Formats: sequence, structure tokens, C-alpha cells
Amino acid sequence: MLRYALERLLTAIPTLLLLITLAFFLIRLAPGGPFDAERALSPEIEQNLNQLYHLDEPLPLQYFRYLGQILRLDFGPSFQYRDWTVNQLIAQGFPVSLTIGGLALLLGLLAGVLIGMLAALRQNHWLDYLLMSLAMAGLSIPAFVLAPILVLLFAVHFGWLPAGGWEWRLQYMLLPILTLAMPLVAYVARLTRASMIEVMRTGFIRTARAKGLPLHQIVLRHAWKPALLPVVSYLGPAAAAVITGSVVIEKIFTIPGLGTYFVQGALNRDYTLVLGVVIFYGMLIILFNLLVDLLYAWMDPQIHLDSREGY
Amino acid sequence: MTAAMTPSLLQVSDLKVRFCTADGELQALRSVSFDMQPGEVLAVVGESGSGKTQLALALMGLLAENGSASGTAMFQGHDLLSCGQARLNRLRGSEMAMIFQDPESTLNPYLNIGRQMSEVLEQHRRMPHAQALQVAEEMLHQVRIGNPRECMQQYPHELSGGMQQRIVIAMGLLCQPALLIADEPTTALDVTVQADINRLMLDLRERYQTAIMLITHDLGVVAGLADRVLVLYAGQTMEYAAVRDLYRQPEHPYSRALVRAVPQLDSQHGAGLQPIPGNPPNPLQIPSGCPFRDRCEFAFTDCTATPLLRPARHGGQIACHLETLPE
Amino acid sequence: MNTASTDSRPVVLKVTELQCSYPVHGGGLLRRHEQRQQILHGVSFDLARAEALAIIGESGSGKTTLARAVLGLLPVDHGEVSWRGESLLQLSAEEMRLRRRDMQMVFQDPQASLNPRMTIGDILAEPLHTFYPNMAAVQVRERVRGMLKMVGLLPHVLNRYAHEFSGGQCQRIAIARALILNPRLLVCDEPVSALDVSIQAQIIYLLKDLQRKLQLSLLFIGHDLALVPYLCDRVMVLYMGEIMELADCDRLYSQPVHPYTRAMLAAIPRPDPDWRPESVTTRAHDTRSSSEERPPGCIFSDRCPHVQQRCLEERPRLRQVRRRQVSCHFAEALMADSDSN
Repeated sequence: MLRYALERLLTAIPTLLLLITLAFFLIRLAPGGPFDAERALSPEIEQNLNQLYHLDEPLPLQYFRYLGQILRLDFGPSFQYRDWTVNQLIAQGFPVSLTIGGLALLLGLLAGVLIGMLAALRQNHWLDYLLMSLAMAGLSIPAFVLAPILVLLFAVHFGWLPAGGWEWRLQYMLLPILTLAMPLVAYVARLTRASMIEVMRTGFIRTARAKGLPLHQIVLRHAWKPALLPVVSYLGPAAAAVITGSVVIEKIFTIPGLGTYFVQGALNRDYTLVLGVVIFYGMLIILFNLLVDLLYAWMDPQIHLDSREGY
Repeated sequence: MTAAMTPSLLQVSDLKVRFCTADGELQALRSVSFDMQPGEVLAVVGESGSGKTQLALALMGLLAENGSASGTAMFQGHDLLSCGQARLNRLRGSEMAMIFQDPESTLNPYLNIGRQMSEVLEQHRRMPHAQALQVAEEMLHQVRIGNPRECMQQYPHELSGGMQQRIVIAMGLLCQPALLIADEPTTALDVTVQADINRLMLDLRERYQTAIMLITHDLGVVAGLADRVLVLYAGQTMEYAAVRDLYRQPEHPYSRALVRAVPQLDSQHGAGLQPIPGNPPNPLQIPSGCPFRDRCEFAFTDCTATPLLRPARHGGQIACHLETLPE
Repeated sequence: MNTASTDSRPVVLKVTELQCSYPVHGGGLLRRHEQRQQILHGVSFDLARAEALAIIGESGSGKTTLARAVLGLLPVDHGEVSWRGESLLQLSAEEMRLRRRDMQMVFQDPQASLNPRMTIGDILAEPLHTFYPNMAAVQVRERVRGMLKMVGLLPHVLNRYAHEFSGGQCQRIAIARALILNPRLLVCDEPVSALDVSIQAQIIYLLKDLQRKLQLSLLFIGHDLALVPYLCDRVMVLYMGEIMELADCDRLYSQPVHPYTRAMLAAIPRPDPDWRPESVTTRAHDTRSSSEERPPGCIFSDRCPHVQQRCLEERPRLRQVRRRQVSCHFAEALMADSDSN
């Protein structure tokens, strides 16, 4: 297991390198530069700034300089937030994003699995139809529609929750988390329902019934593992979806998370900030996918990570 | 034919099984009746589509969602077809157990053997886990598994088909059920293993007085095992007889054809093997009259009417218009 | 090593010292040290024109591997497969594809081997379209209808789909598909194992009939010895990748020599109420991983009722014993024993 994890981390290096390279050159392809947006600077100052940040060097040189920086886990200074380094910005924004994203992921999983199981066990019953229609709706309504509706309802109409902004309090987190989790709940529910229905038809569930086990025992002991395997393999993409989703959500609810910095950075051609966030999230997703694979292997005894059978 | 003094263990009467399918209603079983005595081995024999597996599933309450059973099946004072889920759960695994054809898909690949066995005892005997594991290990020993302790830790995919089937049998016998239903228990196994498993079932029946319902398409397999044989065709009883009578003097053309279809090595090649011509009917379109008449070499005009099940000369029952079966 | 079959028909398929293995451990992603599990340990036999040879073995014996290796569907580690004097192992993929027209296969599960979305007519015509793209539609239809008749099916099945047929009928269709290109070798991998006993005999007789009529060479792969004498001239008993016994059917069935052959024969159930299954071979530890070390001696020694010290130390070679090949140190003694009985 440990060897497998180490190997996976090693093989992540080329992936990460590719990500860095692509991101580095792609953002340079975008028109404009980091110091264009504000009032026009005198050419002299601009030249000085460019020199300070090595932007006057040939691009390949900048690229290798940047790689060297990253090796030291230093994402460099932000161009826009002048007194901040990108590392500092990430350190400030990430806890907020992690809280919202993590809780949304958790909610999505818990609610999704619960709803999916319920629907599967009541297959073709009215409850099943109701839950699955709701899930379909949850999947088809985009965040930028759902968020204003929730705000109108809970903030404006009832006045129970704040419409936006951020404090480390539950009221401020509730709506963003809900919006972010909604498509996840829906997707996980549909995934769980489908795989649960399939599992309930397998031979070993029939055996469990033939043993006289009550339904709850069958589900809790025999069915949950195989039924949740597809959900587990969806965790990787789900995490990526939460991250991309949070960019929009943080903007809508004006939350000072990593997503907000990312959008600002992209608009202002804050090269280092954008690159820093992209690479940071890239590493996070790779790490998360590794954890998911380890979890998968733990759940399925037929998988041996260190010595895969090769028939 | 059997001394009717002792009360039957299982009394099935007028059992019908229907399925609602997209292509219409499918009658898997059309009125089947029989009884089993304690400790008896009853072979249920038929080709694919005869309804033999559905018979077992109906008794165990395991029919697919679109299936329904009618009639009665009295087992230890309860009607299995109408007693409800809670009662059924108390009987299944405890008083009656079932072995399925493919041991690989019968066992849960995500749980080790120990867990899958011990839960039966925990459920029905309210045994603490540690004790249940001990009893399970002892049962694995009974089915001649070399290293039961190690086996308890293993997962199904680490075991061969023969081992898996032994485990399934051991699992079925944990609570010493009165009835064991075995659906083609050796079809997926090698011949030498098949002989082992059959021998094992006979030994266990001696030891625990378990009645066994053995379901198969191969009359060769059941000859040495069964006390009585129920021959099904297209969901109907063709012949019901003591095993000796069925093999030595079958009265139904179908039973005799099944006996003769078994390859026999003792006879000259070619002589011993007689196929039954044609194919079993599609369960969705069972012809009226005797369902076997298209494939029967003795079919005559009467066969367009459905033959009623009647007493046979050997003391069992047959459903055939022929007075005597010609040579 | 090879005994020519008893008559003088020309040998078409010659397999010499065939060894095959599968990769078992993929190793890590970086250090790919591949371990291989050997399935076939040097198998040799030959097959004459219009001869039917049975290859019989239980799970893990390598019988399917052998069939696939012969058809060039698997890489071979060592040994030689020659077809009508030409080595098949040297051929390019395209050359092999063309040779395969001469060698066709019928699989165990008839329903699974027929494409559920194609009509029976299309399934049968497909090989013709592949190998003879210029064949006229009329000719294709003619050939397909002729083939159907030959396997005992009526022309009205042409527009129907595989799921509408029973197992036996599907197997007839699979046989028709295999024969439509007029092959010289037919490999049947457990063609009746998934069928009802009552239907098995139909298919066996059909195969026998076609084999005689078309002068086919036939390899019949099976897991027991029950049906073999009705179809085959010779039989090879395979155990864990080695030939235990290879003989004419008449000889093998009237006097089986190898203890494993005897065990397999004794295990065949008989339709006789007075017969009791014998527990021939009790193997206490049969875990699935067969990658255990092979014993230095006879591979069957751990299950053999006649095992002696020599069997544990020295591996018996496949050798000629009175017009049959046996791999047992005590073949003569066992034969004498059964002679006197």
C-alpha cells in the first residue's frame, strides 16, 4: 500500500509538470499584461516593474526561473496585491474555500447516498419517482440561477440568512454550501440508486436474503460496499467539480476564498497568482485522487495495489 | 409410496408461479404438487425452462420482483407462500437453506468467509460473534476444508470453485436446517469435485437428517443420491416416482428419454446416448395439450388434450395418455 | 515423442513442446518486473486430416490455453505449432488472419458468442463478407441457407435474433458460422457444457456427422470424459499443463492407465440408483493461486492413490506404453494390475 502510494506520488510529477507548463504559457497567450488595467503607467515605471518581476526576460528563461521557484514551493509575489506573496494569499483564502468546499462535498455525499439508497430500495415506488425528479432538477439548474433564488428566498424574503459576505459563522456558510452541494447531491443520488439497484439483484444479495437476514442488515453489511464503489470513484471528479464550482459561488456570495482571488487574478493578468492557484489546486486534486484510490482498494478486497493480477 | 405415518416436512400443493414480462404473462410453474418427508432426498429434474429453479425460489420467497406464486407450501406448520416476510426470515437460513448453482456469485466478494458464515448464527441463534466464528470453523471442518482457520480469513476470490461450494454448503448447514434446497450445486464444478460434493451431501444428510431438494437437468447426477424424483417439463409434473422405479421402469416417455440422454460409458459408444429431439418449448408460448407431444415419439391424437396427473403403476404419478410405455 | 495416429491419414496439425504462460504480477508502475505463471509445460501432439481429438482437463489444466495457442490467439513462449507443414508461429498478423479461415472455433456459451444486435442471417454472412468481399449477394444467401440446412435449422431463422433461440439452437448457429468458410480444422471449446444433458447429445451427433461429411479435423475441448467416445477418435488427458495420457478412445476407455484418467472416469455420474459417487480425490488445500511451486516429482502425486516415493522425487516423462502415451512411472504395473482383473 505504502509503496503504491509513493509510486503514485512519483508518477504525479510529470503530470504536475505538464500542468505547470500548460498553465504558464496559456496565461501568457491572453492579451494584455499585469500592469495594463489600472491607470496608464509611465513607460519608465512599467519597465522598472517588468524588470523587477523579470517580465522583460525571454519567456523560456522566465519559465525555468519559475520552475526553480516552485521547487522551493515558492509561488512568488502577487502582481496585483502588491505587498502579498501568492503563498500568503493562498494561506488566507484556502481555509475559507476548504471549509465551504469540504462541507459541500460532505453534504453532497451524505445526502446523495442516503437519497439514492432510499430511492433504490423503493424502486418504481412514488418516493423513488419523486426523489429522482428532484435529483434531475438539481442537476439541471445551474449555480448562478440557484444561488439568486436561494438568496431571494432565505435572505430577502424570510431574512433568515445573510445574502452574502463572510464571517466564520454558520449563517454565512449555509447558502454557499447548499448551492455548491446541490448538483453533487443530485449526481451522487442517481449514481447510488443505479448501483444499489444493480447490487440488490446480484447473487450474493439473494444469498443474504436466503440466510434470513432482515433488509437493514443486508444493506448495512452486504450491499453498501459494492453499491458505494461507483460513488467512491466519482469522488475525484466531484472534488474537481467543487473546486470549479467554488470559483463561481465565492464570486456570487462575495466570499474571500481562493476562487475570488483566482477570478481577480485572471482578470488582472496577475500571472503568479493565477499560476499559483492552478498549481495548488492541481496538487490537491492529484493528492485527493490518490486517497480515493487507496479508499477504493480498502473497500474492494479483490484489488491488490502492489501486485495487480494480470490476466 | 412412502410410509405416510410421519407428517410431511414440506407439502406443496397446486403451486403456480407467474411472471409479468414485457412480452406478456409467463407461467413458469402450472400447478405442481408434491411432498417431502424429513431426511428425504427429492430430485427435481427438468431441462432449462422447466421451472425447476423457480420452484425453489418460490419456496424460499426469492422470486424476482415481477414474479408471484400461488397455491400452498406447508413447511413446519407455516405456509411459505403466505406467511409474510418476518416469518420467512425466521425460517430461511435457520430451518431451510439454499445452495445456488454458481458458488462464485453466491458468496459476497467484499466480506471474508468468517463474517459471511458467522452472521447466520448471530442472526438465528443469537450467538455472540466469537462463538459463532468457532461454530462456523467447526462446520468448515465438517465439509472437509483442510485449514478452516485460514479459510475464515479469506475472501471468495482467493478460493477455488470447489472450495467455494463447500463453504456455501457449510453455510447452509450451520443452523442444521430441516430442508436444504440445492439448485444445480455441482454443474459449475469439475467432475472429480462434483463427486466429492455429492458424496459430502450424502454424508451430511446422514449426520444431520437434513432433507435435500436437489435440482438438476442431469439424471446421471441424482441417481445415486435421491430417494424420489419429480420430473418437470414446461412447468408441469410429468412423472413423480421413487428413484429406482424412475430409472428401471419409467412410465412417462419424457422420463425415459431423460434417462437415456445420459452418456453411459459402460455400453458401446453410440448405443447409450440418445438425444431428445427438438428443444424445450418457449415458456411464453407453451402449446396446448401435452407440452411434450412435439418431441414425443409416441404422440397420438389424444395428446392434444392436456393429460391429467394420475396414479402410476409404480405407485407414483404420471401425466401421460399412454396406458403403457412401449419399448 | 509424437505417436502418429494409428491410420495413415496425413497429419495436418503438429504441436511440439508447447509452452505458454500468463503474466501474473504487473509489478509497480515504475519497476515493471513481470512474473509469469506457466500454464502449459511442453505439450506435444498431432492431428490427422478428418481426425477428432479430445483434449480433456479440469479447470486449471490449460486446455483452453492450448486451443488458443494453436489458433495463434495467444503468444507462445516455446515450442512449435505447424499447420500443413507450415509454422504458424512465424507468420505475420495478416498472414495468420488468412490462415484462420482454415481454422474456426466454437465457444462454450453459445448465447454470449453471438452478437445480440445482428440477425442470424447477418451473423452467418459476416465471415463471407470479410474473406470474400466480392462474393455476389445471391451466392452468399445460397451458402448461408445451405449451411443452415446442414446444421438442422430452417431458413425462417435468418431474420431473427440470438435471444429468440434456446441454447441448443444457438450452438447450431455458432457451428454454422464456424463452418461457413469451409475450414479444415474446427476447435470446439466445451461446446456442450452449457447445455441440458438432453440437448448435449444432439450437438455431439451433429458435430460427428459434420466432421465425417466434411472430412474435418476436430479438436474437442472438454472438462470430463463422458461424451468423448461418441465424437472423438483419440483423447488427451491434460492435468495442470501436462499430458497425463494420450490414446485411442477404444484403448483409453477399455483400459485407462493413468491414475488421473481413472479418477476422472470413476467420477462420471451413472444413471444407476445403486451407484454411489466415490470421493476420488480429496484435496485439502485448494486455494485458487496455482502459482505455488510445482513439486519436483509427478504433478499428480499429491492426489494419486498409488503414490510411491519415486513419484515425489522424479518427474515422469510422457512415454510410449503399449500403443499409448502415459506419464506415470508405474504405468506397466497399473496396466498389468487391470489386465489381471
